[in-house]
Amino acid sequence: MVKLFFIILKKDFKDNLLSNKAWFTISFFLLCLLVFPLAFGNSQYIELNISISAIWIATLFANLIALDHMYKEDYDDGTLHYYIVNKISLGIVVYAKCLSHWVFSGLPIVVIAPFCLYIFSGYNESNLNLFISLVIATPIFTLIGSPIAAIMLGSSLRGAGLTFITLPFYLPIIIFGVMGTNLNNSNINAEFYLLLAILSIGIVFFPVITIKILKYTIN
Amino acid sequence: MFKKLHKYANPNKFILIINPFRKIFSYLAAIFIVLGLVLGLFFSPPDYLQGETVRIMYIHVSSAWISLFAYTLVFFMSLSYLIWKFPLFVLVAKEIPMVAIVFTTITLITGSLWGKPTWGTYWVWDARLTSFLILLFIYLGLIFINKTFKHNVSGDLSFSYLSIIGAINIPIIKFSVDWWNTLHQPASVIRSGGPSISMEMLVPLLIMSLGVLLLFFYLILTNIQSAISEKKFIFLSKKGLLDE
Repeated sequence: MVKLFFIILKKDFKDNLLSNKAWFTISFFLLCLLVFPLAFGNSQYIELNISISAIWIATLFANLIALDHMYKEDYDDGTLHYYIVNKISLGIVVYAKCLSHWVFSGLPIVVIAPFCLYIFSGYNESNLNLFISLVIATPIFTLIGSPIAAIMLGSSLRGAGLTFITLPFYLPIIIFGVMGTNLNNSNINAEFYLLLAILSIGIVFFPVITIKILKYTIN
Repeated sequence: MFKKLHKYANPNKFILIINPFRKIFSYLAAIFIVLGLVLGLFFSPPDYLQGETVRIMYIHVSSAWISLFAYTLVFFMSLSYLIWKFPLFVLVAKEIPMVAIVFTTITLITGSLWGKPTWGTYWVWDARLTSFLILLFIYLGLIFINKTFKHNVSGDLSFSYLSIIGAINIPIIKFSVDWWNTLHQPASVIRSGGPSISMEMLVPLLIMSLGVLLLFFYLILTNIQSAISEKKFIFLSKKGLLDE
């Protein structure tokens, strides 16, 4: 079973690397960030609060854009069908998908974001907080998105509908994430604990729902 | 008792018993709402701090309760549909968001009108208000998914699963005033240690909520009736049985 998981994970990694979509998310993130200094119009550092929110907004939209082709290609070319016909447990597939999706759309953002914050605002103090809250929040984005991406597989209009439906579910995460990043007092980390609680519930709850949805969507 | 109710899980049987209930609900709703409004607007005392503006509460709080209750109903109906597969449950669940979104909008608008004289602003980004706005958008998403997959089974299942995912928001709304220090006042009716609101205000509020609840049921039943008829019509026209 573990072997099967790694085979599917390897296939997903390969698919992501060979298609341009792996680089699309991170380049969209950088492009979205670029808008903020331009929109302010002067050539000075942006304030810390605004640059933090800019990074969160860019993360949100990069994740939303990436969500559209989470299951789409495998659904279109029949790979998911193949998994079901060959009695491969969909749990393995869903977890492998979530992991590969996070590695290609969450991890690059997590790595780059602290540097972006420094370049934007010139401050160094919030970098660790931003890093921690992004490390916890981006997997939650992927996990929440996966059942909704699976739901929208059967529908005729995918991209716009998916963005519209998923966004409200992301909002609490954004609120807690920004609150966690803005912490002045580093002794109280209640937001991080709350995000970790959501992550630990979500890592069990959302893949189970995704499996159920994929089962009826494919049949 | 459940055995007796079992046969009404068939939409064809259910549509027969809807009509008398609908009429009773509509009359009772009118009576209770008028009674509640009269008691609330003319007979209840003004607040010592907020003055006469406190009368917005009778509409604001009752519609807020209904919009939370409606989502809970959607959640349990969807869960029942996923467990027992009776199509009636999802028929009911799918009609609720359209009605509930009206109550949610009323809550937000009256809340902001109430906020101006008491807090000094129409809107603040505090936990209760923001989570209620998220509820509005979740209702919109449910309506959207309802429209995109019309008349097929996967649409029903998608709707149920999405409403179950969205149910996470309900406890956040309920407890947001206790978990965070918000501008919105903490719960004063349903709380441990009994209601902290005075009896003269509580009675009209409860009457008003009952009236709005009955109105909600009336609207839901009307929608269900038309939805069942629509489903029947589509089924018959697909089979080519619709001659008249």
